[in-house]
Amino acid sequence: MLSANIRKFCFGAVMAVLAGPSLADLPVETVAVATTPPANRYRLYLSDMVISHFIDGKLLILDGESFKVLGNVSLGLTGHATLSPDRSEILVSTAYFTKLNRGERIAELDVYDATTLKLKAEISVPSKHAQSMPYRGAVRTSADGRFVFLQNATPATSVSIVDRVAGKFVTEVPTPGCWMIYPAQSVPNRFATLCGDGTMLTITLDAEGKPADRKKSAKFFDADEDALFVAGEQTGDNYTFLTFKGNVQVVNVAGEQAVAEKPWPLLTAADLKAGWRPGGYQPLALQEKSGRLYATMHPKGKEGSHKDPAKEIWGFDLATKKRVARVPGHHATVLAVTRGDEPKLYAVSTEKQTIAVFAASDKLKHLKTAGPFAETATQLDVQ
Amino acid sequence: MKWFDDFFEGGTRRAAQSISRRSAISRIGKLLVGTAFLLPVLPFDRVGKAVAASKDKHDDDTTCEYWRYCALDGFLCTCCGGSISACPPGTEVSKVTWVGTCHNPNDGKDYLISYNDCCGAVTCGRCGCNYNIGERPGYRMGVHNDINWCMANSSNTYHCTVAAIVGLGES
Repeated sequence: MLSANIRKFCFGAVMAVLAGPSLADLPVETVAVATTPPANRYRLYLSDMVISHFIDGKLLILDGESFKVLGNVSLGLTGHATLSPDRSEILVSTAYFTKLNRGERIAELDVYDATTLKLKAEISVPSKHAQSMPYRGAVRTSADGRFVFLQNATPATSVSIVDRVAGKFVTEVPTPGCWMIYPAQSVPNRFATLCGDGTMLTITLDAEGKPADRKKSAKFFDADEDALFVAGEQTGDNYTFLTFKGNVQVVNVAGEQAVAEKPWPLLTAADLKAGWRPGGYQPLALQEKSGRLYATMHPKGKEGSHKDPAKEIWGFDLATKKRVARVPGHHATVLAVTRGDEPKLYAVSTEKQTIAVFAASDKLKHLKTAGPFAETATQLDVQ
Repeated sequence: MKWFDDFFEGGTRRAAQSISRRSAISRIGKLLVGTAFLLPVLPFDRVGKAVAASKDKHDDDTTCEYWRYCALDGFLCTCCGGSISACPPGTEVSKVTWVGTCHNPNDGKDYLISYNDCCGAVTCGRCGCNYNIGERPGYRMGVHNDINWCMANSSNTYHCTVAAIVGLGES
């Protein structure tokens, strides 16, 4: 029988072995607030209207390489977000009720610092902002960033003009029968809007931001027979749109009147016979440097299928207008592609709320699918 | 309110659908007179119409296949404390509305249906349904379904949608 001292020694030795070598205490920490890391070209901004409780939408900011969540910005009641031209600010057109679901409706343009994600300005605007799903074009800045244009709907449509520099609402421009905002790049005081009569209305502002001129384009589309998706891609003064039946329509908005180019078809005769059509909420992505256009496509399309998710994603060479890529669609309803070199194409599934990413340099190469990240995201913007 | 379909797979894609006649415009124009807002230009040039394909469900007003829901997008008030033509307690009826023409398989007639949103309470979130037949972007606001049709009410949070008969369609 071992003595009590020996038993104590053995017990201590065993415990020392189990505990391993002696470690220093972990340092005491101070809780702080993070800032987002320096943005690269793969930063993503995912707008989520959270349809089942859409009084508190959000903008999710993601690293499009690691898919790490970098932060969230509150969007309020059907809020719409856009970036300033220098990407230093996130601008949100939204409203809030004083008592959650009732009370006074306070509409404003909220300005967030894009690095700290802190609210840095609140600019009061008329309580008319469009309570719609998030779409590019529901809020945009002028090319120089001075003015911010907010889409209204009561349901009569108009655009509120905000002077970002002065920090105040300027005026409201009636735009009956027209929808979404497409600023010119070369003329900072000018924007156009798509109209249900198949035209674009161009509004030119004076130096104070008040409307000085308004002119309609010639009719270039038929909203009954082949409507335009409003989610267009901007390259300079040009906007590229898809039509419900799969045509590509480029419109130049530099002048006092918008000028439409001749549309061209995505579809071959065989595609047409199989009923392929674009579908989704942001069905088009355009990569300017590589000259590629991408579209979310579904077969057996028909009237009413224009929001159907993609069975395939197609890529086109803008120079030859020929299809150069064709990959599985990942149920995508939203596309966005990064700018510059080594582009990546992102495809958001509305059903699954996942994001598939493709290397888009040549053929589309699926890299991975990440998420889900949101509840009901329908808009994706890139840095 | 008429929201979007991908979240609401139930039933919407399973239904056979077709476009109604443009002659419905005049009837819809008359309906709009009764609303609080008159749109600057009557935008209704097409109205959704669908024929329910599933006979066992076209009489159940808590399913998307119910015949009156041929052009409805939103959460069914029949799942939220209301009925086919009554908003749930504590809500109010939307002042602006979207109209469809639906075929009733029981009597073989087409009916004009008013899809009023019910407003003022937080979103119900049950029994989401959606059709996009005849739907167009907001440049045709009256047939746009990605927007809150409680927008003209003083308390304009969206709760759910009813589907009331407001007349006979053209045969």
